[in-house]
Amino acid sequence: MKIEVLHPGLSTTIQDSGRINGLAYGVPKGGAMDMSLMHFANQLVGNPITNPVLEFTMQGGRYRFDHNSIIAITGRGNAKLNSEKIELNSRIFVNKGDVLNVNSGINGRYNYLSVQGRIEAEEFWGSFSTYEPAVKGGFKGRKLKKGDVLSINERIGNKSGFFSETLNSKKSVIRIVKAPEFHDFPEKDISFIVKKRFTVSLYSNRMGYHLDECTLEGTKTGNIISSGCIPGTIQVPSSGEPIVLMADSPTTGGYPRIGVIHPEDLGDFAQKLPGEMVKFMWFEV
Amino acid sequence: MRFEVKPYGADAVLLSFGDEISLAIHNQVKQLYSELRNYAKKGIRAVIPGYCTVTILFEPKMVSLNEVVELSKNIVDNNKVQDEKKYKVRIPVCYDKQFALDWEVICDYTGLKWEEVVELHCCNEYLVYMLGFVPGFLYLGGLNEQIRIPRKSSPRLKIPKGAVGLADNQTGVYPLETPGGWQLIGNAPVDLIGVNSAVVEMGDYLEFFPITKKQHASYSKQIERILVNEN
Repeated sequence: MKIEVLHPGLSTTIQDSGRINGLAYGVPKGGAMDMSLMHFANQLVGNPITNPVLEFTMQGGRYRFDHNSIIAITGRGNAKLNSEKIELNSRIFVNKGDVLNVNSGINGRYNYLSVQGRIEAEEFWGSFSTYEPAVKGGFKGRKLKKGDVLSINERIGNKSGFFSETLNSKKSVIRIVKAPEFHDFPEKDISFIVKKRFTVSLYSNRMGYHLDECTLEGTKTGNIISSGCIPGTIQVPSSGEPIVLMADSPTTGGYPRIGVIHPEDLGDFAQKLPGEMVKFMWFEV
Repeated sequence: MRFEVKPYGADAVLLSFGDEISLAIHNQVKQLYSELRNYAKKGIRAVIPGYCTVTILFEPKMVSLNEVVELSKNIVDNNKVQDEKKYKVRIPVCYDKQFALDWEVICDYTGLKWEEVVELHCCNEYLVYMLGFVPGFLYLGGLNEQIRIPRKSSPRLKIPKGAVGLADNQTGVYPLETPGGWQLIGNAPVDLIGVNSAVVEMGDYLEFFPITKKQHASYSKQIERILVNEN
């Protein structure tokens, strides 16, 4: 079966749960920005939960199915099949020739489409996720374009036993945990970062999110000897303006790290739209 | 030498052997990194070596932070006879002025002739301290002091794959097209990262050797990683 891209949306890529085997070689983790919605999408159609899905960024685009199929769209956006509004976060039956239209609306940045079976994609370091900077993985290593045709292998793989994903309500406060240079930051910065609400900047993508109205004093030197970093890390360059590292961020960095977003909250943080407010709280593990 | 434990979120920890770039620290990092990679089944999901640090990602359902630290202490304390295997990789570089976009700036800054710069860059052995930044990027130590030059004041928006550059005490190869501020001296027509495996490991030694424009245009060999001694 095939899916034809009639309109690719703003930035639609194939993503799965990412790769960790290449972290020591500079290969970023990658994978879905909101991992639990990716799992949920697969779960709804009966796929193994780490199968590749389409990740839509804000405007999702338009897609035509050439065969009857079962799909699911997860997220807080909206979708139409032909001209009828359809429900998100549930199993949908599509018929040959149906056209799907997806939009994220104002309640989130990323929505996911799963199709029963397996979306065929290129593998890079054990994952089918698209990693655009190296033009590897996913569909030709890039965002989808108008006219692209995705192939679906309709056989369902082995499901891994226990599924528990649902659409949770979004957390209003994002938990952050100490990162390696926490103690090098002045007390002032440590309290400031949880006191105010900050705005997610327009400069935010799969590599990292900048925050507006958040200027910290920073550490004495403003840099560190390059060291291994993980997604969710809040690094603070000498400008004092923090950058939160996201799924496609480099595996190593040279800026001091004040904190890191709790892994269970990283998806909700990723869902923040440019201009949306975010509030952090320190959390002890 | 022992490490300092720096917690890193809910499922990672960073162990730091110090705050300077040195061979002694590098060897400690290398030993711990190489050993920890054997513990995937015990909950060590991934290990990222840095110049002086080891970042460990673990699965908290399988192993606790304390257990990860204890395991690492045991590895460091039982420091078996250091792995003396030495691997070397040789990277072909075309230093033709077509690729060496910054040759004039470098000659002006260093007071050397272009041939001398090339000679100093390739008649040298470098140590791969770590990989990072983008897939296959090597952080090399050992650049000759005579060809050290600050990075460009404003970065280029596009640097082609394989570009070889200088920046302060570093030299390196851009494994893929990215923006970058290094002073460019040549181009290496090789892949530094595979689709499922690495070409160069941290701890390897590296040499650059000059090739002509003609050789560059038709170069199709893979990088070889050669064991140069074994005790």
